[in-house]
Amino acid sequence: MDDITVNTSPVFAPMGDSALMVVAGNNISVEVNQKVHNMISIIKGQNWPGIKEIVPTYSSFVIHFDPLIFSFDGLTECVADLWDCNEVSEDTNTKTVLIPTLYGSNYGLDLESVSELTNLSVEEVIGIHSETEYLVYALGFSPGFPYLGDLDPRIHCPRLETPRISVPKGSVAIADSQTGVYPVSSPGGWRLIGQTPVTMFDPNRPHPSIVNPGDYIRFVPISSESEYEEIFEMSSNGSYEVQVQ
Amino acid sequence: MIEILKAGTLTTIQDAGRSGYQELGVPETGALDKFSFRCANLLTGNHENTPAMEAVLFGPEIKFSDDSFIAITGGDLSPTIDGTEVNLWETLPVSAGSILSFSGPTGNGIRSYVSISGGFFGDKTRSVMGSYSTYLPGEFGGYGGRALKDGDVLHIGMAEENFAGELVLENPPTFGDDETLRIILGPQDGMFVPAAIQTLTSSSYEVTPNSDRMGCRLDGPMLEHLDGPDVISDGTAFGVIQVPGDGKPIILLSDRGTTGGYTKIATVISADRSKLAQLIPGGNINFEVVSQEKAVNLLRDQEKLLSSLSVDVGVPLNIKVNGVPVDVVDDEDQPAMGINVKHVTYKAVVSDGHKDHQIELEISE
Repeated sequence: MDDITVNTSPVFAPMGDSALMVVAGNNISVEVNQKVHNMISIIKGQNWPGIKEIVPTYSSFVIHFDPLIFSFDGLTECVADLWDCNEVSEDTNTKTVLIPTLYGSNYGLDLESVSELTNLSVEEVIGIHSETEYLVYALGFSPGFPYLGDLDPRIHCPRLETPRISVPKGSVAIADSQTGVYPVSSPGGWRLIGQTPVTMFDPNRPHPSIVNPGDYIRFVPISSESEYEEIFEMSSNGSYEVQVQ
Repeated sequence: MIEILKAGTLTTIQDAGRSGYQELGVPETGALDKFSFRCANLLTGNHENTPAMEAVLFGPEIKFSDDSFIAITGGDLSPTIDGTEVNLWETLPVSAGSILSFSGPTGNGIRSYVSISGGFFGDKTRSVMGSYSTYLPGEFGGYGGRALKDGDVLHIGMAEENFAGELVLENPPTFGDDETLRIILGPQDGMFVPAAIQTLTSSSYEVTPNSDRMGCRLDGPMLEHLDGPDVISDGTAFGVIQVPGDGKPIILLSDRGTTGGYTKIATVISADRSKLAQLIPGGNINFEVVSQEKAVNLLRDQEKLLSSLSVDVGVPLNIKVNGVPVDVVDDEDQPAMGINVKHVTYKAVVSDGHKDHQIELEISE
């Protein structure tokens, strides 16, 4: 299971008669995940009939299809034929989204404990967390929750022993080698180190999520509560535009 | 317009569900028993993806304020109109002032679908991510993102004008408390001890009461993993059977999470989706392995049954701008479910990513 390479040919796992799981590798790595995103964009570019949607996760993706239009055997054959194709179509230009974040105090209740667990100062934890561009491996858990990696090993911390019943919307959190943002208030066991005033997910927007799978996120520290409030106000009324690189 | 006099156990607005948003972590949602849902719409002259009501166990009490056609399909929750028992699976006329009520389940399924000519629209607003389906945990879609309550008033969409109103589905499905669900093994049947497949296909499992729109939880012989229950979180599908550490299978349904970290032993075939959605808590199920080919043939047969009801209801509206579904309304601001060529122009709101623009769509024959 320590093999960190991408599968040289796709591994197909049927999920009933209308969904096909395609496995690109057997670990969580940027390399395998990028293969997932590349293959999805190549497949989407084929405009095959009967394909309903394709859902990426860490190391595999699921093709939902209509078996009365596209047969299971035909689909596996077509995907296998494209596996070595490494061209990435133009519309997959992934972006880096800058997420303003206020770290610590009431906005990141566990920042102190992270500092203690890692033997780093609070400033060092913030510096390390905000200097990395994180890959959006996938979105899941709840609508718009991005699974981000990889976190610098210097700030790896275990999950909380007792998950919180309610984590505030916009909380920026870490757990083991992962970091993420809670798009809506929900229960959660990750350690909260900050909070973004930006509405990450809004079901009523034409593009509900600020980030798509395969994009990158970088957290940009906010210096004051007043700046936080200002961005929060603008994001709530729809006038805030996230910075993209 | 209709008024909900009593909401019932759990009555929600549903359509065929959300498509294309699972990559953002948004569940598929929508009618659990899609066959019955589509059938209800066809019986009332609607396009098959028109929003309808999904009622569970004890159905709602509804007052109609206009003459119309309705249909009730799926599980038999003992419907009556003005106190008189009515049949499922056929077009039913209702008059202004008529009251539809349900006296409770009869052992023949647990979910009824109620459609009306024109469709039920929760609060006359835009659809959410291309669907009118209610997603309760996310509080969006349908009627303000929630189940219907006593006193709610629903708007009715524009009905097809030439609907004759006399349709019956011949040989409708029936549902019981001892069902066999057909499955295809995978995606992770290889991560169980070989005896687990034998256990799954030779044992009887009980449907537990804590089943919901997310999943059907079963009790019965444990399914043993080879090397623990966890996998790297991967995708899910309707009907997939995941097995957590306790070895008790959970069949995932419409409101399931889009990603999951438990091994998945097998998947219920699409043709048995109705049976799965109508399982009665306390009832028993068995599993039978079938081939891909057989599953597709069974699905094709089911589609033939539905196509016997299909009448021409115009072109279904599924308009996307840069991949984003847009809602189209007619000149009375009613959601347009299909294009009626008598209307010359429709309105739609499209976004350029920053703000909304209203555009006019002109449809020519």
